[in-house]
Amino acid sequence: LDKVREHGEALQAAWLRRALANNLRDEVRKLATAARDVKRERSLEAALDESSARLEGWLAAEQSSPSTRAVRHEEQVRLADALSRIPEAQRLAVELHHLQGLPLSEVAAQLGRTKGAVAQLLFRGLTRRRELMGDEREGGP
Amino acid sequence: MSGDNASARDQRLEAILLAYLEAVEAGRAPPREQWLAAHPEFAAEQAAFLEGR
Repeated sequence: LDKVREHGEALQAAWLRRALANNLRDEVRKLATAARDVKRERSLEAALDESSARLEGWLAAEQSSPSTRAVRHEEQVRLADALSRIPEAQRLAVELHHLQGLPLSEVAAQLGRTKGAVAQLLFRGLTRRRELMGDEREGGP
Repeated sequence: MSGDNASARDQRLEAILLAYLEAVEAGRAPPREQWLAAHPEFAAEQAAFLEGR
Protein backbone atom coordinates (compact mmCIF):
# COMPACT_ATOMS: atom_id res chain seq x y z
CA LEU A 1 0.00 0.00 0.00
CA ASP A 2 2.89 2.35 0.80
CA LYS A 3 4.40 1.65 -2.62
CA VAL A 4 1.12 2.46 -4.34
CA ARG A 5 0.83 5.69 -2.35
CA GLU A 6 4.44 6.61 -3.09
CA HIS A 7 3.97 5.91 -6.78
CA GLY A 8 0.86 8.10 -6.83
CA GLU A 9 2.69 10.95 -5.14
CA ALA A 10 5.61 10.61 -7.54
CA LEU A 11 3.26 10.91 -10.49
CA GLN A 12 1.51 13.88 -8.93
CA ALA A 13 4.82 15.60 -8.23
CA ALA A 14 6.01 14.98 -11.79
CA TRP A 15 2.76 16.36 -13.17
CA LEU A 16 3.01 19.48 -11.02
CA ARG A 17 6.63 20.03 -11.98
CA ARG A 18 5.68 19.85 -15.62
CA ALA A 19 2.71 22.19 -15.07
CA LEU A 20 5.03 24.63 -13.32
CA ALA A 21 7.56 24.52 -16.15
CA ASN A 22 4.84 24.87 -18.79
CA ASN A 23 3.32 27.79 -16.96
CA LEU A 24 6.68 29.52 -16.71
CA ARG A 25 7.42 28.78 -20.37
CA ASP A 26 4.09 30.36 -21.40
CA GLU A 27 4.71 33.46 -19.35
CA VAL A 28 8.25 33.86 -20.62
CA ARG A 29 7.07 33.33 -24.18
CA LYS A 30 4.54 36.14 -23.76
CA LEU A 31 7.23 38.48 -22.48
CA ALA A 32 9.72 37.42 -25.12
CA THR A 33 7.18 37.84 -27.89
CA ALA A 34 6.25 41.26 -26.64
CA ALA A 35 9.89 42.23 -26.68
CA ARG A 36 10.46 40.45 -30.03
CA ASP A 37 13.54 38.86 -28.58
CA VAL A 38 13.78 35.33 -29.94
CA LYS A 39 17.28 34.75 -28.63
CA ARG A 40 16.21 35.49 -25.07
CA GLU A 41 13.22 33.18 -25.40
CA ARG A 42 15.45 30.34 -26.58
CA SER A 43 17.91 30.79 -23.76
CA LEU A 44 15.11 30.79 -21.22
CA GLU A 45 13.51 27.71 -22.70
CA ALA A 46 16.85 25.92 -22.41
CA ALA A 47 17.10 27.01 -18.80
CA LEU A 48 13.72 25.48 -18.00
CA ASP A 49 15.34 22.05 -17.92
CA GLU A 50 16.99 23.08 -14.67
CA SER A 51 13.69 23.75 -12.91
CA SER A 52 13.10 20.31 -11.49
CA ALA A 53 16.58 19.97 -10.09
CA ARG A 54 16.44 23.40 -8.48
CA LEU A 55 12.96 22.71 -7.10
CA GLU A 56 14.27 19.57 -5.43
CA GLY A 57 17.38 21.36 -4.22
CA TRP A 58 15.33 24.14 -2.67
CA LEU A 59 13.22 21.65 -0.77
CA ALA A 60 16.19 19.56 0.29
CA ALA A 61 17.95 22.63 1.64
CA GLU A 62 15.08 23.64 3.86
CA GLN A 63 14.44 20.21 5.32
CA SER A 64 16.29 19.92 8.59
CA SER A 65 16.47 16.14 8.72
CA PRO A 66 16.95 13.31 6.21
CA SER A 67 13.67 12.54 4.50
CA THR A 68 12.22 9.66 2.55
CA ARG A 69 11.52 9.90 -1.15
CA ALA A 70 7.78 9.90 -0.45
CA VAL A 71 8.08 12.85 1.90
CA ARG A 72 10.21 14.69 -0.69
CA HIS A 73 7.54 14.15 -3.32
CA GLU A 74 4.85 15.34 -0.95
CA GLU A 75 6.87 18.51 -0.27
CA GLN A 76 7.30 19.09 -4.01
CA VAL A 77 3.57 18.87 -4.50
CA ARG A 78 2.97 21.32 -1.67
CA LEU A 79 5.58 23.75 -2.98
CA ALA A 80 4.19 23.64 -6.52
CA ASP A 81 0.68 24.14 -5.14
CA ALA A 82 1.78 27.10 -2.99
CA LEU A 83 3.54 28.72 -5.96
CA SER A 84 0.40 28.34 -8.05
CA ARG A 85 -1.56 30.30 -5.44
CA ILE A 86 0.58 33.44 -5.16
CA PRO A 87 0.02 36.47 -7.43
CA GLU A 88 1.47 36.08 -10.91
CA ALA A 89 4.17 38.76 -10.75
CA GLN A 90 5.41 37.42 -7.41
CA ARG A 91 5.36 33.85 -8.69
CA LEU A 92 7.32 34.75 -11.82
CA ALA A 93 9.95 36.59 -9.78
CA VAL A 94 10.35 33.61 -7.44
CA GLU A 95 10.47 31.09 -10.29
CA LEU A 96 12.97 33.06 -12.37
CA HIS A 97 15.25 33.97 -9.46
CA HIS A 98 15.03 30.89 -7.24
CA LEU A 99 14.13 28.07 -9.60
CA GLN A 100 15.89 29.28 -12.74
CA GLY A 101 18.73 30.90 -10.83
CA LEU A 102 18.68 34.08 -12.90
CA PRO A 103 20.46 37.10 -11.38
CA LEU A 104 18.35 39.98 -10.13
CA SER A 105 19.24 42.16 -13.12
CA GLU A 106 18.07 39.49 -15.57
CA VAL A 107 14.80 38.91 -13.68
CA ALA A 108 14.20 42.67 -13.73
CA ALA A 109 14.83 42.77 -17.48
CA GLN A 110 12.52 39.82 -18.12
CA LEU A 111 9.70 41.31 -16.06
CA GLY A 112 10.23 44.88 -17.23
CA ARG A 113 10.68 46.16 -13.67
CA THR A 114 13.41 47.72 -11.60
CA LYS A 115 15.65 45.53 -9.47
CA GLY A 116 14.09 47.12 -6.39
CA ALA A 117 10.61 46.18 -7.57
CA VAL A 118 11.82 42.61 -8.12
CA ALA A 119 13.22 42.59 -4.57
CA GLN A 120 9.75 43.56 -3.31
CA LEU A 121 8.10 40.86 -5.44
CA LEU A 122 10.53 38.27 -4.08
CA PHE A 123 9.85 39.40 -0.52
CA ARG A 124 6.07 39.17 -0.94
CA GLY A 125 6.19 35.95 -2.96
CA LEU A 126 8.58 34.13 -0.63
CA THR A 127 6.80 35.13 2.55
CA ARG A 128 3.42 34.24 1.03
CA ARG A 129 4.76 30.87 -0.13
CA ARG A 130 6.01 30.23 3.38
CA GLU A 131 2.63 31.20 4.86
CA LEU A 132 0.74 28.95 2.46
CA MET A 133 2.97 25.97 3.16
CA GLY A 134 2.83 26.68 6.88
CA ASP A 135 -0.95 26.89 6.78
CA GLU A 136 -1.16 23.48 5.14
CA ARG A 137 1.34 21.98 7.55
CA GLU A 138 -0.84 23.14 10.44
CA GLY A 139 -3.97 21.78 8.80
CA GLY A 140 -5.36 25.20 7.89
CA PRO A 141 -7.67 25.96 4.95
CA MET B 1 -0.78 60.84 5.39
CA SER B 2 -0.70 57.22 6.58
CA GLY B 3 -0.51 56.19 2.93
CA ASP B 4 2.56 58.37 2.44
CA ASN B 5 4.13 56.86 5.53
CA ALA B 6 3.38 53.35 4.29
CA SER B 7 4.85 54.21 0.91
CA ALA B 8 8.00 55.63 2.45
CA ARG B 9 8.35 52.55 4.63
CA ASP B 10 7.88 50.27 1.60
CA GLN B 11 10.57 52.15 -0.26
CA ARG B 12 12.95 51.83 2.68
CA LEU B 13 12.28 48.10 2.94
CA GLU B 14 12.76 47.74 -0.81
CA ALA B 15 16.17 49.40 -0.59
CA ILE B 16 17.19 47.12 2.29
CA LEU B 17 16.07 43.97 0.47
CA LEU B 18 17.75 45.05 -2.76
CA ALA B 19 21.03 45.77 -1.00
CA TYR B 20 20.87 42.34 0.64
CA LEU B 21 20.12 40.49 -2.60
CA GLU B 22 22.92 42.30 -4.42
CA ALA B 23 25.30 41.44 -1.57
CA VAL B 24 24.27 37.78 -1.86
CA GLU B 25 24.92 37.82 -5.61
CA ALA B 26 28.31 39.41 -4.99
CA GLY B 27 29.16 36.64 -2.54
CA ARG B 28 29.26 38.93 0.47
CA ALA B 29 25.96 38.26 2.21
CA PRO B 30 26.01 39.61 5.78
CA PRO B 31 25.45 37.15 8.63
CA ARG B 32 21.76 36.88 9.54
CA GLU B 33 22.02 38.47 12.97
CA GLN B 34 24.17 41.31 11.68
CA TRP B 35 21.67 42.09 8.92
CA LEU B 36 18.68 41.98 11.28
CA ALA B 37 20.43 44.17 13.84
CA ALA B 38 21.29 46.77 11.22
CA HIS B 39 17.61 47.53 10.55
CA PRO B 40 15.67 46.74 13.74
CA GLU B 41 12.53 48.48 12.48
CA PHE B 42 12.28 45.89 9.71
CA ALA B 43 13.51 42.87 11.67
CA ALA B 44 10.20 41.01 11.33
CA GLU B 45 10.07 41.49 7.57
CA GLN B 46 13.73 40.59 7.17
CA ALA B 47 13.32 37.41 9.23
CA ALA B 48 10.26 36.39 7.21
CA PHE B 49 12.19 37.04 4.00
CA LEU B 50 15.12 34.87 5.10
CA GLU B 51 12.84 32.07 6.26
CA GLY B 52 11.04 32.08 2.94
CA ARG B 53 14.22 31.73 0.90
